[in-house]
Amino acid sequence: MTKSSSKIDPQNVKVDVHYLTRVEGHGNIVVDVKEGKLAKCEFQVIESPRFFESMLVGRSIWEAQHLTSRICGICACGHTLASIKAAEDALGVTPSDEVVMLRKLLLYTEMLDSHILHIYILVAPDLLGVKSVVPLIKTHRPVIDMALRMKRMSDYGGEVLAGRHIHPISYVIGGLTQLPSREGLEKLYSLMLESRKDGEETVKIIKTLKFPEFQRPTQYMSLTSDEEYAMYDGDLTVNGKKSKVSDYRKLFMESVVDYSRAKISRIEGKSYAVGALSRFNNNFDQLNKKAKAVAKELGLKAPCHNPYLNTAAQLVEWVHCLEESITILEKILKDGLKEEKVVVASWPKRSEIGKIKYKPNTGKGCVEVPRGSLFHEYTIDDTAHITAANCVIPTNQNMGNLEDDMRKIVPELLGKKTQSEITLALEMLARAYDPCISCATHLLDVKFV
Amino acid sequence: MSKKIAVIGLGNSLRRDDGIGIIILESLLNDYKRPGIDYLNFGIASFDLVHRLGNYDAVLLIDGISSGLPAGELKIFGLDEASFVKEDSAVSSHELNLKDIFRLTADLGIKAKIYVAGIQAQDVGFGESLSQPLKDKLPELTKQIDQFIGKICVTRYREK
Repeated sequence: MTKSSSKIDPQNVKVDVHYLTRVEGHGNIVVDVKEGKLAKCEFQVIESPRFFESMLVGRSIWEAQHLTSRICGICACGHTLASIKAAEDALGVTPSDEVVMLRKLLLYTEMLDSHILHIYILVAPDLLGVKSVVPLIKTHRPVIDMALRMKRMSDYGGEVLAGRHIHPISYVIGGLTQLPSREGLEKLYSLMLESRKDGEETVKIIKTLKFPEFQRPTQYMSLTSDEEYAMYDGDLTVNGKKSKVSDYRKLFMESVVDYSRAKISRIEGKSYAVGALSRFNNNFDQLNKKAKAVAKELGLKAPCHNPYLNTAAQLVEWVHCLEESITILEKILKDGLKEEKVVVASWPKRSEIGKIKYKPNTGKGCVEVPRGSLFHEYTIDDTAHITAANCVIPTNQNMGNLEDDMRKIVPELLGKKTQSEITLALEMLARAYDPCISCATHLLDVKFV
Repeated sequence: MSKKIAVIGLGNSLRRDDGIGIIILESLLNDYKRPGIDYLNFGIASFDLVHRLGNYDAVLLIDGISSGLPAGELKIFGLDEASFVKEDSAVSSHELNLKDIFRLTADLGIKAKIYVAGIQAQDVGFGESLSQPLKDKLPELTKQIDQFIGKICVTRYREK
């Protein structure tokens, strides 16, 4: 980051953030203002291309969700569920209501987990003027302890529901391979009840923090449903206009740019946003009462056109997801889970895979994950092996919108802010989208001393 | 009551040698599972380590490393014996790298003794199979790591 703290020549400004920190993967911010004109404004994704789609080709559709759950360490459940939905669409499998309820619970749990990580570990350091969460242990110890407690609760949710806290194993096509234990569900319920207090405390804290002011209306895309605040299912909605998930390829176009490994997506030639703020803007009316109250307390109103407030929308969603999860758990603990409705009765044996005949077909699945709408699409042959796959992740969809935000904000800051303040504003803007750039290889780079 | 020990595999099993930690964890579970030890697959999640480490007295993390050693060479070290040279290296979780996680853990007063079993990777491109050197050494690597786990058990028992 540039160290300069003096005001800059607004005619000539260069920002080059090489490796934006506190985001998943590697991305650069490059801005170049020459003689008062914005010559370059790019968010460069420099990760190696994602080859998961080609890795899926030739594999049995029955194992797709286990493979795709490895795409992301944060949204592993979301990838699993989008994958399962696409597979079920291709195979013509309809899950029971109980299974759908458990899938929603898993999705809410992942939303709780990811949102609290973003709010406290990735964004709070910016708002408190420190470089990372580490110094906050000394200055804000009770808050960090609370954040870890909240994280532990959602982490436990994944373990109880999906067999382990990362890369779920028990959620499969048609249902689950085993019932979550009653003991585990009771403990999760109790942890969630305790978390309410931490949520209230978090609202008080976030309320005191000042988010940058910036406005740019854009197209907001998310799932919507008449029945609920849509996360697991629904139609795609862009500023009030609805489309079927099956038509997603007609709705937005992905294109390649020469400076980034990520594709840029556009709807009718214009960038669009996905994620918590888009869902909040499209589905505000269906938030539960407590989440609406939190939005009011934070001064967040739909439609909100300040992308920095995506973090506030995440907190509103955290409260929503917690309350929805508690409601589901109360139902489960009262009524119990019927094994025959949840656990998959039949599963092709390894020796049978490739021998059973299926109707060649294409299936599409979409769920809302913490960063936005996630799509999986698979085409299968008559042995249910995948012949083509497409995965569209939220971060790619947001890239064009982020760049358009940068194009608007840079001229607004020129002459008013120092070079380092402009750089920080752009870093914070990128982080507000909670980008998850890579499927992260994570080799330890070690020097022995 | 005996001390609590965890063996944690880290890595992405879809990035060839990056998945060595997970593959060794599975081999340990299949062939060398010891009673009273938690064997955990953390995949590409890392932040969760922060609050999990506090549950244990001793933790062995198994992961691929990039350290200029011959491919497949095993180096077992305590945190005081190595420096993590790149700020952006190490496990995933939103750029909170292992270095930050260990700092966070220490600053939080988590007392677990942490060891890393690092295996020099050769190829972390996309794919599910290990590179040949790592594949060849897998049985020996698993055995060596289990022997180290045995030592941790003895040390911890004596410290108890």
